[in-house]
Amino acid sequence: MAIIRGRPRPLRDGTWAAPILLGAASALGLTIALVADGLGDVVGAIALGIPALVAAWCTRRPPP
Amino acid sequence: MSPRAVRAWSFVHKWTSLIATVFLLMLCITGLPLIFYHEIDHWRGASVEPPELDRAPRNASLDAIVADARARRPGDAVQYVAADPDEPDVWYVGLGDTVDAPELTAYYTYDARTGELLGEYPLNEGLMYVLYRLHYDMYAGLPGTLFLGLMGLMLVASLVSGVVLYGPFMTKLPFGTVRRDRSSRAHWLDLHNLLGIATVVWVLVVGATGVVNTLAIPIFGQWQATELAAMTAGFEGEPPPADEVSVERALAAAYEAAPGTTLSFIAFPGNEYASPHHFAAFMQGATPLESRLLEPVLIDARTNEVTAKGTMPWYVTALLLSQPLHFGDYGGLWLKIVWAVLDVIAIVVLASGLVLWVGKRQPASGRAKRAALDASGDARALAFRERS
Repeated sequence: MAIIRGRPRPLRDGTWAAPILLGAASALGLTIALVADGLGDVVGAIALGIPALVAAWCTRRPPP
Repeated sequence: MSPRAVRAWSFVHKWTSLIATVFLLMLCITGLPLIFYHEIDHWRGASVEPPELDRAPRNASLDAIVADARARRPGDAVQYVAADPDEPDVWYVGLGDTVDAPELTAYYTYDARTGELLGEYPLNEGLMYVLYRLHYDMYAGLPGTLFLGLMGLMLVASLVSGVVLYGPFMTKLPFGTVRRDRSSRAHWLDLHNLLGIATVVWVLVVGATGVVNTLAIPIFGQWQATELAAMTAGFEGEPPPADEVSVERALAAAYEAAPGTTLSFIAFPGNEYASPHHFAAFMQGATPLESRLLEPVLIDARTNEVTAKGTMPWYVTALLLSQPLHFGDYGGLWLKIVWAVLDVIAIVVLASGLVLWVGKRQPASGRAKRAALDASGDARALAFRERS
């Protein structure tokens, strides 16, 4: 539990860790595919697909 | 975050979403097939592939191709000739009622090796055109485009407020929690939060670049009124060129002036992208990024001499970079497939937001009230938690 006493601290408590990583993967995918061809397109598509894969996995796993 | 701030951001999130949701759903749904416009065009036979030939590309005379296009529609004027780096064996010729008419009357595809006409693109017809117009301007012209841009701004505000609210509402739950075993509202809210935060960067980029794209007409208008006017200054008193001008020689001059580039399109004298006295060749660079940018080269139509060459100002560059980031057409088929998946997720986020709003407006039974508290989505519940 993140809150025991006082206000929640989302950054310190890890609320934002996964969203920031997924956002970085999206940004990386969007950029790599724009500045590089060939392998860059593949890496870009994979990086941009990570948030979709993570979201799909989360929706399928049993609730805690 | 204070309860007052949570309420304020909730208000922003709710109303910016509600105002724009119907239009954003329409944009996401019409945008889905538009991601594969090129592939669908080929599949339905609207775009043609050049036949396999053992001959070097672009051997045919471009002037002969333009003459053939003119002969097919004697009452029309050639507006521009375009090329596509992905289709090096073809030239595209666009014609209109006049050289500066806003609408094309014909769009021909020619074999660049033989000069033969390969096909005429069916303009302004078919399901894809209907989807495109709905997505582009809802058949309302510039006002429709600008209205959709306003809806895009609403989306950006909704996303920002959604991100701000995500932190306070998710402190109790681990990332990715979807409580399928709780109330329906809790399930929808978890789905909304998870899919929304996972795809927020992509949606923000596509939304913001969509807003920039809605400004394409004003942006090019500004460029024409300032930069293009400055590049063609001094030719006002000159007589217009004769009807028979050589686009082939003009293009050769453009290539000489901008080595290492390839043609995107060359506008004919009198077209809005050129001047009454000039061809305007828009060249693109060789790298993936530079191939998205344009470098204008102006060629005197009478002498075929390059009179000006420049770079596009920042606002046109911003527009040109916004186009691939909005269309998703810059990384091959796999990127398009990922783009489509993310688009479907965005539709689920919009729909789940609508479901949550409708559910909240229905009279709440005791069970529903408990469900609302389950969802941790009630600003009052959050405020109570923060106070205690």
